[in-house]
Amino acid sequence: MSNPFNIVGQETSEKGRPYEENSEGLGAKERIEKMIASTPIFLFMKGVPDFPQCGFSANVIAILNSLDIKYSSFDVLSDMDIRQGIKDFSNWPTIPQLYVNGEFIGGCDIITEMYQKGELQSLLAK
Amino acid sequence: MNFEELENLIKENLKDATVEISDLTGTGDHLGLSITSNEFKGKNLLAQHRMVMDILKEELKDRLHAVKLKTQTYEQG
Repeated sequence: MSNPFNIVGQETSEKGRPYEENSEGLGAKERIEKMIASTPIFLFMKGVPDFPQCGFSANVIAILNSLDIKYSSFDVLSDMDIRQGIKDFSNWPTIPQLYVNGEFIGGCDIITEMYQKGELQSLLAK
Repeated sequence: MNFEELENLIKENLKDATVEISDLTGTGDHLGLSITSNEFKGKNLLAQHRMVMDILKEELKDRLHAVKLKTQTYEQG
């Protein structure tokens, strides 16, 4: 079955790179704040841009990769503290979660709808 | 989870809601939810989705893996 959440149909990435963390001794909230401040466009996802581990994450990656932007990502499957911590941080129950300039934008459906309306393109072009 | 149960849960919280549910993967835990309600009026997409996610919070911890959400008001529908 093809992935019903992937609206772009392109799955691999050259524009997204996994975030390299150096945050010894920090709590989940501080780590998250540091991550989203590290770059304008940051995605918390399952897997990495080259190999998303969930259809929703794969769809957001495909959308981001279709745009002329660079972004960083963090694999929540690699870290249980962040996997729960990011849900608490944004008060949002699912992953992926996209942050732009430190602000939570939305998950897969919101990103998809904003992309289809052209709103994501203008937000990310700023 | 049971579609009827889910629809009732949403309607308890959004009285005027029209709810359409579809099973996206055939496994009953990845659902498509299309909700029309005037309680979404004047709220941006993130705020609208937050309202629904809040209603589904407990279900998402356990019985639901994920939902694909579409929200609109009756004027947009």
